[in-house]
Amino acid sequence: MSIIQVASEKGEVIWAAIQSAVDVPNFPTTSGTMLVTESPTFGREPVMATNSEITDSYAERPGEICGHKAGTLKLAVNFKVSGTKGTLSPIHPLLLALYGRHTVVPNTSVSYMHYRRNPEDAFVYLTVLVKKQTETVLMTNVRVKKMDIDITSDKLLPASFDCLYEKEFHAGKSTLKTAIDGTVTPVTVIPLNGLEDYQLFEVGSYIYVGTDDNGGAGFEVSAVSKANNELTIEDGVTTVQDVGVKIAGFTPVVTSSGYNLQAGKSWKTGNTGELGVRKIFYTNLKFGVENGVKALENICSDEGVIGFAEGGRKVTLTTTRYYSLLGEGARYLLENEVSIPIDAQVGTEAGKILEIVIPSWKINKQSESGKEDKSIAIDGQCFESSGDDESTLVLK
Amino acid sequence: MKLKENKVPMRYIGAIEVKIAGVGSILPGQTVEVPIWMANNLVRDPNWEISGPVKQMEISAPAENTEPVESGETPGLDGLDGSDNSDVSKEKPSKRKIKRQEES
Repeated sequence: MSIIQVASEKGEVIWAAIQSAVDVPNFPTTSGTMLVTESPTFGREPVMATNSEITDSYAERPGEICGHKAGTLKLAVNFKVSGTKGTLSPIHPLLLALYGRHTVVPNTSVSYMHYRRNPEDAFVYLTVLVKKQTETVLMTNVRVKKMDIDITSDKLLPASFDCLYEKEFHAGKSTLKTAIDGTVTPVTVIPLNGLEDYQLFEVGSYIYVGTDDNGGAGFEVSAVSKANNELTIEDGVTTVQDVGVKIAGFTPVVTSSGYNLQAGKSWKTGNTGELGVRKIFYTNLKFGVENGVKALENICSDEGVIGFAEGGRKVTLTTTRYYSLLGEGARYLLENEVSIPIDAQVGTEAGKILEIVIPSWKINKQSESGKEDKSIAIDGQCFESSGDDESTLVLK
Repeated sequence: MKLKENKVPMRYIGAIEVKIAGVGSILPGQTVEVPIWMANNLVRDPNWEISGPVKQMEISAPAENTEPVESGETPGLDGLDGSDNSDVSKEKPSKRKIKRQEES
C-alpha cells in the first residue's frame, strides 16, 4: 500500500498546529486535520526594486524582484464543534490564533476571549500544511487576521479565516530515478526522474520516498541541486525503493472529527439593558472579528517579515430580519446610540452549541430591501464593556 | 489466495470520536489495527498510543484479471471453417480476419 493513497484522499485538506513561539515551526499531526469547503488560496506579493539613479548603472534595476512581502492565506471551513461539552473543537487552532486566549471548563464549556491589549498578550502563531492536488505547502508563523461567520438558516455554518504568514515551503510530485537497494543506508541524495523536477521542491519542505516516510516523520529537504536534478534529505532512506516510486510532500493521516453546526434553529436575545428581555428571530446574522494585523516587512533579508503588529481590533455584527418583527425600533436605537447586549446562539444540543456573547452592540446603519417580504438589515459594531471583551465565543 | 500484512494495534485516547478513511469510526479508548506506516504516523499525535506488538494479519488478495474477450468474436469458432484453431488465444482476431480475407 502506498502512502499517497491516504495522503491524497479526495480533494484538498489542511492541517494546523499551534507553535510554542514565533519562529518555532510545529509540524502538524493527524489531530490537526481540518476539512476545507473551498480550495485554500495563498500567495506572496513580490517587492519590486526601485532605482532613481539618473545615469546607467550596474545597480539593481527598477522592476526587478528583490524580495517578498508577507503571504496571505484564506481558509474556508465549516464551523465544527466537538460534540462534547468542555472539549476542544476540531478548528481550535484557528479559533485560538484569532482570539488569543481560551478557558476550558471540563464537561461544561470552552470559551475564547480576545487578546488583551494592556498588557499585551503574546501572539499565537500556527504552522499550517496545505495539501493540494499537485503539491503540499507548509506555511510557518501564520497569524490569523480575520474571521467571518455567516449564520444563515439553510446553511451549515460557514467560517472563513484570513491569515498572514511568513514562510512557505513547497513540495511537488516526482519519481525516483535510481533505485535504492537498501544495502547502503541511509541514502540522503535522492535523484529525480522528471526533467527539471528539482523546481518542484524547496528546502524546508517534508517529503516521502516511495513507501519510506522516515518512520512517520517525513524527510526534511535540506538541499535542492539544479545541476544534478536531485534532492538532499535529512536522515536518509533506509529501505529498498524501486526506480519510479513516487516522491511527494509528506502529510499526516487524514482524520475527521466533530460535528457541523446548522443555523436553522438559531435565535438571539437582547436580554438586558434598554431593550429588556426579548427574543428576536432573524433570517441572517453575520459575525466578524478582525485583528487588524500589520506585517512588519523585513528590510534585512529578501524573505518574508520580521513579525506582526496588532493594528487595532474590530468586531462586527450584522443582522437581517423581516420588517414586521422589528417595527421601527432600530431607528430609535440608531439615533440614540443605544448599547445592546447580545447573546446569539446556534444549536440546541449539549456539546453542539455555539454562543456569541457581546456586551455592547451599537447600530451604525440600517437599510430596507424587498417588496412583499420586506426585510431590514442592521449593521453594528461591538464594543468592549470591561476590557477586551467585545465578544466571547463559547462552545458548550 | 491470502496475503500477509503487518499491522499494529493503536489505541485512540482522544476525547471525541474520530474517523479515518479505510479504517472507520473510532471511539475514545478504542483500539484499532492499522498498517505500520499509518501507526508510525499516528503515534506522533498525542491522541494515539501503541497498545501492543506488531501482528501479522491475513488479507484477501485482489481477484486475478481475466483476459477480456473482444466483442464480435467467439474463441473456438474459427475451426468451423477448417482453419487451424490451435493458436487462437495468442493471435489477435483482427489479424485472423485479415489472413482469411487474403486466403480467399
